[in-house]
Amino acid sequence: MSAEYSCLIVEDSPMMRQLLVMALARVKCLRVTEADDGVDGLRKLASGKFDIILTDINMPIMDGLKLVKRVRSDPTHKDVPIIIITTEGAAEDRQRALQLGANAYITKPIQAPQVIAKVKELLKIEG
Amino acid sequence: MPETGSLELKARLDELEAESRELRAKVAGLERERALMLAHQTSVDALSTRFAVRFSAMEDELSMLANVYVASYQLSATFKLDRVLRHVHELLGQLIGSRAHAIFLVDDASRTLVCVASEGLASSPNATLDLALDPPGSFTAGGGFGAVIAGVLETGVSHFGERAPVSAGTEPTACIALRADERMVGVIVVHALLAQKPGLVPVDFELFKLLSAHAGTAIYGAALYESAGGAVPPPNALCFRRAAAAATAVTSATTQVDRNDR
Repeated sequence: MSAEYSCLIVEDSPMMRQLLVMALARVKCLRVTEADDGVDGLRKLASGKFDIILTDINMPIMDGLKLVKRVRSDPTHKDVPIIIITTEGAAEDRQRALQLGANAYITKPIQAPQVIAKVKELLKIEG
Repeated sequence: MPETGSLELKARLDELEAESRELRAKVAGLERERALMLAHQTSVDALSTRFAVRFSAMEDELSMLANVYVASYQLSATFKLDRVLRHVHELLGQLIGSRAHAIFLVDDASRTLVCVASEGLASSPNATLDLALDPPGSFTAGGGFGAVIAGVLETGVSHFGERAPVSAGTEPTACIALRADERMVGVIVVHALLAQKPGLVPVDFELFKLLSAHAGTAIYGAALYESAGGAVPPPNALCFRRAAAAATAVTSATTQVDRNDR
């Protein structure tokens, strides 16, 4: 079955990226692309069509919140759902991310089923 | 002719009573069927609950295996010391949810424990603990953790404590024994967990086991590689060493047999 949806993971930790890729491999119709930081993420966004973005907050060069701002101000990608995955667990961090336009906020350490469920929910994938 | 009417009525009454009996029997049959179906429904519900619990357990297991796989993959994926340390930090911070931790290695020559890296702590790297002289509690990087660390170094068994804030300094959340080739080479002290992490869960203990068995080897392997200027022996040198080791083993076994024969 060919991929129907494409997902961009923006995360500077190779370990966390690999873990997310492994988790999302269980969503059959999803193709995953990886980016190291916000700038790399924007570059990959410009060169392809993505249905969902998963991003960390604390990253070098460009952090996740700046990435959310840039994506929301870009007419091409402004409606792409964004999931923040971060170690920042404070309520104000969550509120700020959601105010900037993130659709969901998941704190690390992650539970793979929780990430999969949120991705499926935002992409409206059943089963 | 009134008798004929009465007989007809009686016959009709009998007929209705027979019909009623038949219907009551049918109702009783349906009631039995309903009870059976309800019992079946209950057992299906119980089975479904068992499957849901099993599914959830399998999800947890899969998640645990994925964590351990990724951690082990990344830990042994490089010879570069800074990357190995980064992977250890990531494993602790992102997979386990540690907010503050430090990695200490034993310096055999000076009998000190040297902090080679830390995260989320005010104390700087290179903080040391003199294993022979420092009394428990004098550990600059760990508050009053000296006794716990000394115990872990002595027994080689990792220690898991209550969740403690970074400032308390009474007992670490975890003190992991780092081994390399059956030898204690250091410890990882986890001071505090992230606010959203209520405590250690089964996967954390698996990851700590992995760290205990592999982090020390990975750190020393990378350090040796870097101190050798990134030079690795050619493959035939490895074959030669293995052959030499095998020859030594044969010689020693032969000597033993000779001694036994005498």
